[in-house]
This record gives sequence, C-alpha cells and structure tokens, in this order.
Amino acid sequence: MTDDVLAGHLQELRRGTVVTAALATLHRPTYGYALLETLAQAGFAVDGNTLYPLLRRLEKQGLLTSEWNTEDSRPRKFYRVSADGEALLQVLLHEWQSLQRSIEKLR
Amino acid sequence: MQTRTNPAASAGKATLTERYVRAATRRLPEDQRVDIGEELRASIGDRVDTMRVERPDLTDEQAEYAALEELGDPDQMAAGYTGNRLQLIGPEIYPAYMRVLKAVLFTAVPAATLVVAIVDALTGASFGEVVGGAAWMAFNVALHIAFWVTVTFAIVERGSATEDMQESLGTEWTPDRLPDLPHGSRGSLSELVAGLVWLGFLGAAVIWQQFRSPIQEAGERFPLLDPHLWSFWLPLILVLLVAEMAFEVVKYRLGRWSVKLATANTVLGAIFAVPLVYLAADDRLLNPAAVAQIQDGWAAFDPGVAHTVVLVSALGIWAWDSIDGWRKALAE
Repeated sequence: MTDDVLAGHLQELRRGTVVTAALATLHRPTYGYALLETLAQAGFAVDGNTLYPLLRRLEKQGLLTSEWNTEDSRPRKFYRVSADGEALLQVLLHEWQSLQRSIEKLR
Repeated sequence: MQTRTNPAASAGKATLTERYVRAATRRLPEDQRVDIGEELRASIGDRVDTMRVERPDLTDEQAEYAALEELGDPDQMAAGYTGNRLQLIGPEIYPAYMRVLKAVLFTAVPAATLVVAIVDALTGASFGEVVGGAAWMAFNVALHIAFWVTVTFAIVERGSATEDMQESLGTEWTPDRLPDLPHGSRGSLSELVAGLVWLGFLGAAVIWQQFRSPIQEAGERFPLLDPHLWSFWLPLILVLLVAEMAFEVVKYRLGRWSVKLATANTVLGAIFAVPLVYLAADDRLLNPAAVAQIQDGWAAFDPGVAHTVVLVSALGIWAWDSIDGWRKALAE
C-alpha cells in the first residue's frame, strides 16, 4: 500500500467525522479560525472554505448558537453547541460506537 | 449585530482581504452578506497573524497573500455558503447526458449531412462544393446538438426540470435500458453472403460491360464506361471491391461490431465512394462513344442525369452502410 493510498483512505474516513468533531469541540465557545486550528491539531484536517460555511449551516439547522465578541481587538463570531447540537452529538457518538462494534463483529 | 466599518476599506484602498471578502459575499443574500463578510475578515486576519508567527520572514502583505491563497477560490467559498453545486452536469445525470448526446449526434448528423450533400449534388454543385457543404453542415449540426443537449441537462442539473422532462431524458435509470447482448460469437452468415454476392456482382459488372456490352453497332461493342479509365480508375475500383470483400469476411469473423470496426467501415466505404463520386461529378464515367450510340436510339438520354444517379447512389449507399455500422456498434 502506497502512502498516497493510505492518506486517501484516512482522509475519506475522517471527512465524515468533521461535524462530530466540531460539535464535540464547541461545548465551549470558539471562533472559526481557532476551531480550525484545534481540529487540525487533533488530526481533522479541514479547509477554511469548508469549515466556515459548515459552521453557518450547523447554526441554521439550530445545532449551534453564535455570538459576536467585540471585546477583543478583533471582533470575532463565537459558536457554541446548542441543546439540539448536544443531542445530535450524543446520537452521532452512539452511532460511532455501534459502527465500531459492528465492524469488530465482521472481522 | 452592529455594523462596523473596516478602516482599510474606508481609507479608499482596497486590500486583498477586502477584495476577497467582497468576491466571496457579493452573491449571498443581503441579510447574511455583512455578517459573513465580517466573520471572514476576522478569520483571514487570525490566519495572517498565525502565519506571521510561523514564518517571521514574511511581510504583512506576503502573509496576507499566502493566507488568501490557502483559503482558495472565493467562488468556492460562496458556493459553500449558498449550497450551490459547482458543476454543470453532475455524476447523477452524466450517464444519461452521454447517452442522449451520442444517440442524437449519431442519428441527426449523418442524416442532415446526407440531405445537404444530395441537394447540392442535384442542384449542380461541383464535387468540392458538395464535400465542403456537407462538412460545414456536419460541423454546424454537431455544434448545435452538443450545445443544446448540454444546456438542457444543465437545466436539469439545477433542479428546475419537470418530472416529464427528466423521464424523457432518461435520467432515471431502469434495467430496461440495458443494451442487448451480442448474438452468438460470429456475425450473420446471411449478411456475409449477401455482402460478398453484391460486391462480386459489382466487380463482374465492371468487367462484363467492357467485353460484353449490350451497346453495339455493326458488330462493334461500345463499353458503357470510358475505356480510358482502365489506365487507373477501373483497376482501382476492382482492387477496392476486393478490399471490401475482405472486410466483409473480417466483420463476419469478429462477429460483433465495435467503434473501431464502424470507423473502419466508414473509412473504407468513403475510399470506395470517393473515386465513383469524383468521376461521376466530373461526367467522366460513361464512354462518350456509348453515350452517342444510346442517343441515336433515345435522343432524350442525358449522360449528366446518369452521372448524378451514380453519384447519389454511391453517397447514399456509403452513408446508409456507415450509419448501419455505427448503429450496430453503439448497440453493442
């Protein structure tokens, strides 16, 4: 297996987990760029032009709430997970574990 | 949410960031534009700050440039916000698009080209004019078909097509659309025999008219075709007939049509048709002495009409045979 193939499959697997990772991170209010860096450090490489629109979409779906913080030198929009978002995260994590168990059974 | 004015923008000098934010947000709904713009501005600023720490050798402008380069095409960013898909024809309807495009191209282009060629030939255009007109027609028809079919499917892609329209375009695949399997491993024997008999008959006729022409006067026979053509053209036609016969055998042995075979069929047919069309268009096929003999008994006989009949037949047979080949090849 070449490095390219490995990297491709890993990226494919992680792509579907960005929403879960973002919801998990946003239990404390965070702004877009900081979330991008946190996710990157945790191994969820996601581009800004994917993440920033994604945050808006999740907010529109009622999974996140947002608030402008104008106290810092640079005004930033902070997102945090809503009650619905927290519920979704629980469902996603549950699904994640059941997938893991299913795959173990298949082996 | 309060509206803030950006210092750079108000100073009248549009920075790269300002230009980027405007490019990414100008197509967004009015109520989101400012808010998303502000957020983007902050995100870009944060990225520039980080980059200045990571790479102290960069100037502010260079860091800004690099940050925007990293962020990528603003149109893509905008599409992320609006949810628009950045594709003319997506993978779901692409197979139907290709099916329709091919089917229309392979039926309409030869038909339109043939009609134009026949009309041109009948109205006395020269050989060059006929070929030129046909080629121009083929090009234009193909261009129009490609354009309009693409536009139609692009509309379907954008979700504004009715269900009837989608059904008639075949965007919903069903097993009924599966092509038939080729019948047997060999081609049709009757087709092979018919092809060989027809080609043999043509070859025999060319030789027969030279030695056993029915047009005679005082014991002298007048060949129907100009005997001067034996210096080159008639032997060439006989050689091509043999080549066509060999091709019939190849078709039978391959048993199934392919794009390659259909291409060879079209090309070989053209090579055979071209000398006939060329000679007929130049009024050089018939033997002038035989024409004079015929006109002795039938004053209205016009060699020009006879040549036109040969020309149209040659083109018609070639076109029909080519289309038939392509139809079979594409049905495989």
